[in-house]
Amino acid sequence: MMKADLHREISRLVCVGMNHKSAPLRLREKVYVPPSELAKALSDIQQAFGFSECVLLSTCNRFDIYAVLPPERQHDENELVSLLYQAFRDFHQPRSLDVTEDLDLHLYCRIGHKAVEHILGVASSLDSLIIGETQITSQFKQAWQCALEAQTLGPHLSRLGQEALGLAKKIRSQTAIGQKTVSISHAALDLAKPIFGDLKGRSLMIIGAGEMAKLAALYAVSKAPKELIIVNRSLDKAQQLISCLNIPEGMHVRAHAFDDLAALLLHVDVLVSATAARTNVIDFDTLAPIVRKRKSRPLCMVDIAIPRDIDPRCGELEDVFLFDIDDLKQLTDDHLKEREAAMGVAQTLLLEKSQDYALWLKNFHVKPYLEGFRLYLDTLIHKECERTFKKDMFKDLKDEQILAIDRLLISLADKITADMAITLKDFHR
Amino acid sequence: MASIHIIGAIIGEFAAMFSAIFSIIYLWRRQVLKQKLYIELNKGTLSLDSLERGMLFCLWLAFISMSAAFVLALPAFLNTPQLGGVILWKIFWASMVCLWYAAILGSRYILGVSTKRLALMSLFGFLLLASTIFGFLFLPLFDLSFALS
Repeated sequence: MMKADLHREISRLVCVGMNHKSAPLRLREKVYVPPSELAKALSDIQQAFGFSECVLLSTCNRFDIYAVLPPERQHDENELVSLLYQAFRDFHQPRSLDVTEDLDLHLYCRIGHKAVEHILGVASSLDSLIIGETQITSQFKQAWQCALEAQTLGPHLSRLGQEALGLAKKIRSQTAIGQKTVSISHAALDLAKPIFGDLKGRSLMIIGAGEMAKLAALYAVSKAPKELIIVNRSLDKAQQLISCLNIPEGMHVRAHAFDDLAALLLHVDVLVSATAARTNVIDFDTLAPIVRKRKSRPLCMVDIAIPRDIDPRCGELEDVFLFDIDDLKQLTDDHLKEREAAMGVAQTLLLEKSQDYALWLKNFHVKPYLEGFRLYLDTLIHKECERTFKKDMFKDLKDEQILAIDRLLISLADKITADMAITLKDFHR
Repeated sequence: MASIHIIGAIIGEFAAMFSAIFSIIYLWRRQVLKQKLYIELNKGTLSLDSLERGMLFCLWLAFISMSAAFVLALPAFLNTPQLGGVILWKIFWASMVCLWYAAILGSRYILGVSTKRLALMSLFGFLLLASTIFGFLFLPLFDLSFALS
């Protein structure tokens, strides 16, 4: 494959989306697609836009569409960007996205090498709100798994997904980025520090029992509060979460159903909400009388759910300190400083991986030729052996001898194919 | 008795001053948190909770010390042969200060007012003290009528 061919080939890979850097939370929560709806969304988007391959990554901080365009579709870059923006808008319009909003201002589009680097950066948490957070890698894995099940994954994205997960592992093990485990849930609890200082002796409440809630609960336990309350729609799930925790002596941990929420809010100090609810779990009208009854005790509420669980107006109440996922951006500066040196090394590894992918892409097109050539050799060997062994002079050959000759010829064919592969790869390099 | 009065007044006024300092920091940090300026806030080390506790401790100390100083000095004031003028003003001012600090603590522990209001009340108390240059205005040095006589 010539350089121009490779460029054309890699330019088929595109990415369009919005993340915590490009769009505010109020827009991100509108484009969020819950995991249960991802498979349908994938087939919808593939059918509507005719992508060869497609993966959707929908997390609290981003909504990305990774796609491979069919080879016959040729667009110049500007045209492609507008088409992808249109595809994004068309995809979300029936899903309650406010059409009056100038969405293009908050979207980004990456094509070719930039898309490869973007995907690699996302999987290895270099593009995350909190650099080095571990959750994105598992969300990335789930997105690829979902595409595989929805049959929208092909060789290009499949390979890129493998490369990306390999890179994430490498960065975590070889750089300082993986030294300290951080996640959005960790940062959420750190937001209570300027209000209460130490969490010892405090009452903590976590709403939800999903992955985010679990991470928050694990971190909360390490802070040894007086009490930890898990509230969830399903009490069983809340109790399951509690059973995963290593509870220190003297700490009270209990599970409650949603019905008890109002009563519990009367005495908790810190609340982290991370449910998958589509509407507010705590609204202003519910909280206002509770806050009055609390008699000036501060309440720190951190909403890390997408869409938001807590009505933003609750933050206007006296002695209520409400934070959402965008407020965690402030914490990332500290993390960035800590990880600045490691980021350089990680970026180098990312570029190496990006080149590896480009090389694979080149070789990917050599593979059918090599396979064809090998098939030709095998057929040739088979035909010639058949013809040769029929001759009188070979009639006395024993089976073992015939087998040995067969092996010799196959090994010769292997060597020829391998040499040819190396020559072709060197030629591309 | 006079020395105990002076020591009590000095401790009380210093405590009131510290409670005012805690109040200013509390109000500033609270505002920063409400506006979600986390980076700005991260520069400090004291949490809102620590500031609140510090403020309440100083308010209690100010109230107890100043009340004790006032009660101890009251018989001496009342026995002054020329009761009137400056002395009466000082008694009025001191009782107002003590009552104000009692009101701050009462509103907190009985009515449960918010820490923000507590901080504002504490600042007002400090202004009440500062308005008479911490009681120095009532000393003979500042008393023009005393000087003229």
